Amino acid sequence: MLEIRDIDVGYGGLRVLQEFSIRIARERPAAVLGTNGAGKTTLCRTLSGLLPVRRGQILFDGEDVTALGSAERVRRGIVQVPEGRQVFPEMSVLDNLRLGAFVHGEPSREEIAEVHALFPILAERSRQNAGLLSGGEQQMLALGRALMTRPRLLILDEPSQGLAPKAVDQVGEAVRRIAARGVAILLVEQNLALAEMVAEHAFILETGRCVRDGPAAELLSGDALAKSYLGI
Amino acid sequence: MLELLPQQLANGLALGSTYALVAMGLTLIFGVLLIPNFAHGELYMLGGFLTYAGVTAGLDFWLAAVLATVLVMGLGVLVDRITFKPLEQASGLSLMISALAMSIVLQQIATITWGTEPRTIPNPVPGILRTPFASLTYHKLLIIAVMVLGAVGLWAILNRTRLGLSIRAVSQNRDAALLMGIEMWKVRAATFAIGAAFGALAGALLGAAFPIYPTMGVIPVLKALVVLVLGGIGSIPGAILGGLLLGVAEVLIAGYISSELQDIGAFVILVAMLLVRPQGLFGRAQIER
Repeated sequence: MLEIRDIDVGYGGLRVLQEFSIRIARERPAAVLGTNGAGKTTLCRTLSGLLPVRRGQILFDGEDVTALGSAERVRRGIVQVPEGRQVFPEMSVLDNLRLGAFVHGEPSREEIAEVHALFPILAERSRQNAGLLSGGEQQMLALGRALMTRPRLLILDEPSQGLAPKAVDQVGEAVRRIAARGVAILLVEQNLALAEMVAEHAFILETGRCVRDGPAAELLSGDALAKSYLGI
Repeated sequence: MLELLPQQLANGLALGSTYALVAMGLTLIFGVLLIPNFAHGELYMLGGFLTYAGVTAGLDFWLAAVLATVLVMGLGVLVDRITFKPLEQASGLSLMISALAMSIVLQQIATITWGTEPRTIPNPVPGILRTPFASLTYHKLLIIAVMVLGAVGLWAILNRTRLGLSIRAVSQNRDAALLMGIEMWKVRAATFAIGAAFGALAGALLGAAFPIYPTMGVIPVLKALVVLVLGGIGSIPGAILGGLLLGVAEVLIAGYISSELQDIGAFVILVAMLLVRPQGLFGRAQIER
């Protein structure tokens, strides 16, 4: 589904990702775990085409997407829920969903109804400005908006950030339902609880390199080493 | 003195409408793209000169004004490509310097083409509307009408079209807009074209009452900056209200205090606003972190 081969990404003289490689299969939701500064957001931005790679390749469904712009990647189904949710604060919830569908044209009622069914709060707040929603509700909106984009691979950059534990559970539940529809999941997190809920395979990211990977259950539970990487 | 007030207010609204027209284009480009397009004044100037050129070539004023506006819209996109696009990763200061350079280049091109001697276009709407309270030339009424229509048109584009949706998305959160698959170059081109249209329209209309010369855009852009501070940078309603307010204030200062203070008045208002409400009437306070 997604294969990242030896990519180097950086800003100026700083190398953030170094010879970073992972492979993700559609039927096995994956998590990339790392502490602050490990390169998580850089990885997400690179996959969405917001940052150029200096070396290496990104393959999506066997095709090289390394040189494609962000819009073309979105059209192909590489969709991201960015860090901090990044809803459009002064637009209605409905307009946020319309923007999710932007590359496919105006969304149909059925498409919106489908997202409303998954996240009923978005139907209730449809006319409200997104900036007025709570953090948890904004995360639901960010997920709903990403679904409108018809993702084939959904990248989630720290969706648990700033959320109460109950809201984190809701996010995990929602992501599982999205995965059940056949969408590949790449969760990039430092919250182990959410990764445990969602992921079947996990990668440990440390200072820009993938240092370990394995089945999530093995890597996350009772493995003192993994926990020490994450500093908890 | 007081019986002149309605007349002063009417004159102020007409003057303010020209400020609002110029300011709307400037604030749109800044609000969406965070680009300080000081070359906006030269787009205004070229709106005037190209209309003049069309009228001189025998075209009807309205047709000449529309053609000039369309040409300047294209030029606005070109100005972005040459002046700002190569500096995408640069600081705001570099953008400003580049904008000033483009202003000078455009002024020189106009000087080479038309010379420095002021030109005039015959007024397409001569005559005066007289009412018991105030009298206004049809030309001033035209300016007010175009400003109102322009504002309504801009509102409709921003709020009723998909292009407008993408422009608003970029202005609220550029990265998130990119993640929606919005193509930045389209939004840039559209924003510059629309912004340039406001400058060109103002130049074409003003050219029918005031002289046209290569540096005529300098003062309007300075005034538009005052308007932006008054109304809140990036806010369209702020540009309209700020423009009208500045126009009325200038006319009142000139009428009741001294006409020599008219221009100073604008900058006194600017300083006062910065002291009392730096975010402007419609702006939101932002904290830099």
